[in-house]
Amino acid sequence: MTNPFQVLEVPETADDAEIKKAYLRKVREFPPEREPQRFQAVRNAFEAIQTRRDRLRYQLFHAELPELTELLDTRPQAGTPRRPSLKLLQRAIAQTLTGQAE
Amino acid sequence: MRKKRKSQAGRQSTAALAAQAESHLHAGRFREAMDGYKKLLKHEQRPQWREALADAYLGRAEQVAAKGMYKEAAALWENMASLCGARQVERYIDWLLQGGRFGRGARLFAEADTAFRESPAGHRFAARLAGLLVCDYAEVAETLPADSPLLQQRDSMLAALRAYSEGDDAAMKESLKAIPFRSPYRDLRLILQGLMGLAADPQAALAQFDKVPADSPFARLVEVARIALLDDDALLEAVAPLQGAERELVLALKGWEEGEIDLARHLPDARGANAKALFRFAMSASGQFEASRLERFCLELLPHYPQGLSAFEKHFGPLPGFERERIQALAAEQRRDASAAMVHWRHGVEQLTAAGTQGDNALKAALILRHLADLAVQARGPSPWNEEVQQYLVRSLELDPQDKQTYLKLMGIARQREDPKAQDRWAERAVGQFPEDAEVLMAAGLSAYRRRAFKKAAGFARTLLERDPINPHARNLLISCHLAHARKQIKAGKPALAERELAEAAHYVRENDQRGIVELNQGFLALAQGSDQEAETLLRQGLQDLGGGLVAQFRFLVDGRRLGIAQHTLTKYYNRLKDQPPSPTPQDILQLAELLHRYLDDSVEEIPEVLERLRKPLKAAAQLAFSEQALRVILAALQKADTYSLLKDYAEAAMQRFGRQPRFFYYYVFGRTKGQDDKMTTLEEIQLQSALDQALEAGDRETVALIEDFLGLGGFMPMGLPPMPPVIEQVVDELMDFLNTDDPEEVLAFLEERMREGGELPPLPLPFPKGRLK
Repeated sequence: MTNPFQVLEVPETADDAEIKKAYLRKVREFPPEREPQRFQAVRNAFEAIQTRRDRLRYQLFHAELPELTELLDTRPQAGTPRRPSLKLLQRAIAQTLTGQAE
Repeated sequence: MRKKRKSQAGRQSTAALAAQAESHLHAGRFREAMDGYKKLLKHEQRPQWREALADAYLGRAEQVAAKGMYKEAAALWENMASLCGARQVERYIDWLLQGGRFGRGARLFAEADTAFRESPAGHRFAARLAGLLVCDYAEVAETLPADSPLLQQRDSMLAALRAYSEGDDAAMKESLKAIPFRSPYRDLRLILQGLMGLAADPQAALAQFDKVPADSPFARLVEVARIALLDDDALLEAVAPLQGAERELVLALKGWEEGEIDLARHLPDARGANAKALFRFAMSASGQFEASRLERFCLELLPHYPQGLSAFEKHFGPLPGFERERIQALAAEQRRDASAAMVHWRHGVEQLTAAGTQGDNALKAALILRHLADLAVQARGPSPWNEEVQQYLVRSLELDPQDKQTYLKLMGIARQREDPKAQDRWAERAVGQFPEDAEVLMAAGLSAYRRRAFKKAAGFARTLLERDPINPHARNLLISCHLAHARKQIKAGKPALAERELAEAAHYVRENDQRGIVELNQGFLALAQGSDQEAETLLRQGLQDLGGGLVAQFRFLVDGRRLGIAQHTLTKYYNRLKDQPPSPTPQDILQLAELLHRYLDDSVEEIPEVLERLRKPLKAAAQLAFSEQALRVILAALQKADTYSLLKDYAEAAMQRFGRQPRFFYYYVFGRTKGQDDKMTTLEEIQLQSALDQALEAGDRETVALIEDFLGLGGFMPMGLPPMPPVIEQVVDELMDFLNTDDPEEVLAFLEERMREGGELPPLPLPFPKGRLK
């Protein structure tokens, strides 16, 4: 994940204070001595959006190819399982028995 | 006699045919075997041939059934039965049912004897027919006798299925009670019980599914039901190949919508795809994602796939003018078209500032202007301080005066352009904006020092040291200021004032080399005052503190000459103090190169003469084991100092050590020709062109810019640009027509002439009249 807002788990409207707070929370979660790589990612994200000027710079010039996971993470939760209708059950049984789609 | 031969030939032919047919049969070539045995049976009805023919038919039927051609398999079985008698009826019924001939299959099953019906195969057929019955296959129901248990239990199974669908588990259980344990509906009942607990107790559901035998006709239904128990990622993989009602059943059991299954289908292709494929995937599955995130995702793809801009706007609505320019600019940067990127960024600035120069828009415009300055530097190589860059930076400060780096860059530009007033102005403005900032104070101090405003420089350095007492650069600067002032006083014949300045400098000394240089200057002052003994002691101590080697000697000579002491005096004293100077080490030469850079930045004029004095040991040192990087630093310093002879020597040594690299060859030619391109030989010019090509290929921007500068090519074409756009190609074609030539060289010559006249490329397309050039 390269989007610094997602790395720090802050909205894109977050201000300096919110970003610093999120950064410190993440540093506690990934201390450099235990999780050096994740800490570095957190540090990079913080430096990319630390100030208003940084955030504007990021918004203007960042041109990394977005990662598909950034989109998939937003997929709505699947609905609750439901019972198929009798008709659907019969069609599914017939298809599994005969090998014919419909 | 002839008749007997014919009979023998016939017998041999039959035997051969039989052997051949048998060979086909054993090799699985059933069609050829069938032909062979049919011919043999025409000659003679041998039972073993009939059996073999039946085997060939059945083998062929299995082959076509394996390809899903059940009707054809059933037809082959029927042919076999008519020629050889019925056998393996269960396979035939299977093919009939698989081939959709349910009525005939059911009839055969009903007519089969009890032994078959009670066999495992018979049970499987009964289960399959039971499944077909609950699916309302009328031809099956019509064929079975009215008292068949299959028909009697069908209504209970259907009632259970309906109750399950409606969520009435109690009614479902009640209906299932009417179905005996050994019923053909047994497997279906197990599955239904599993489905009932699927959401609440997946383990119990799996246990029910496990009870269904692998050879059951309902095994496939179990497989499908199991998919609904997988987690999301595995489910996406498993559901992709499903179709029709099977897929719908999984979706319903999982609670998914059809759109999500489309997503599942396309996801494997989208992972690791390029921008175009990602864009198309995201847009095609747009209903599956949160709208604002989808818009952001697609927007971020556009710089990599600007062709998607119109589709994006059609879906999400038109983009603001600035946003369109931003995307086009980033897209141009992606394809390394710096010129196009700069055009779009400039349009973007216009859009942002059209409505005023306040707030976020002003800050954005300022950031873009600074980005434009960077692009201009990138496009023009390492001599970036042109008017265009300066203008971008100045304008950015009008919109956002709070950017320290921009002040520092402008100070650097003013210094490069040898404009002390501008340098001073930017230093003052920077200090005004950032009065506490160490970097700004240091830059302002250096700037003042280089303008020989030593008192001012000392003021900045002192302020900085008060805030940061361990800052070595501020300390060095302060010492340098006092030394410079002392030199001024010595030259002016004011030894008392000079002594005071040197004492001030000594007050700030911390390191040996700082102490050494102060001691040298104190020694020179003593010398000027005629105190030879004191001078000798101080100079000896100074040389020792400076390490005693070539670097110490260099600094001794430079600082002595800066005070106007004659060379023979310096030589005399140096030789008296250091009988035999130690041979220089690679580290000494590298340190000397760094000193050269510093002295030359400070415009110390005595360097070339001192280097000439030290030419012999320096030339000998060229053969030392330097690293490639060290040689680059040394060569750059020698070039900066205009010491052509040493530059040539070190470049030659570098090429001997690391091969004829473009950078080393450039320094060699530069040194040999004393930096004058008209002194190049034709061969050198060709070789330098070739070196330029190599550097271009290697993406070595610095070397490219150096060689281009020397060859007078100028850096007006940024590196890495794509091929000429069609419009330029068209213009070149038109020019060739206009000049009535097929030779591109003539076109180039014409353009060069125009450039010499106008100073830059004329605007394209060129405004020239049609017709031949007179």
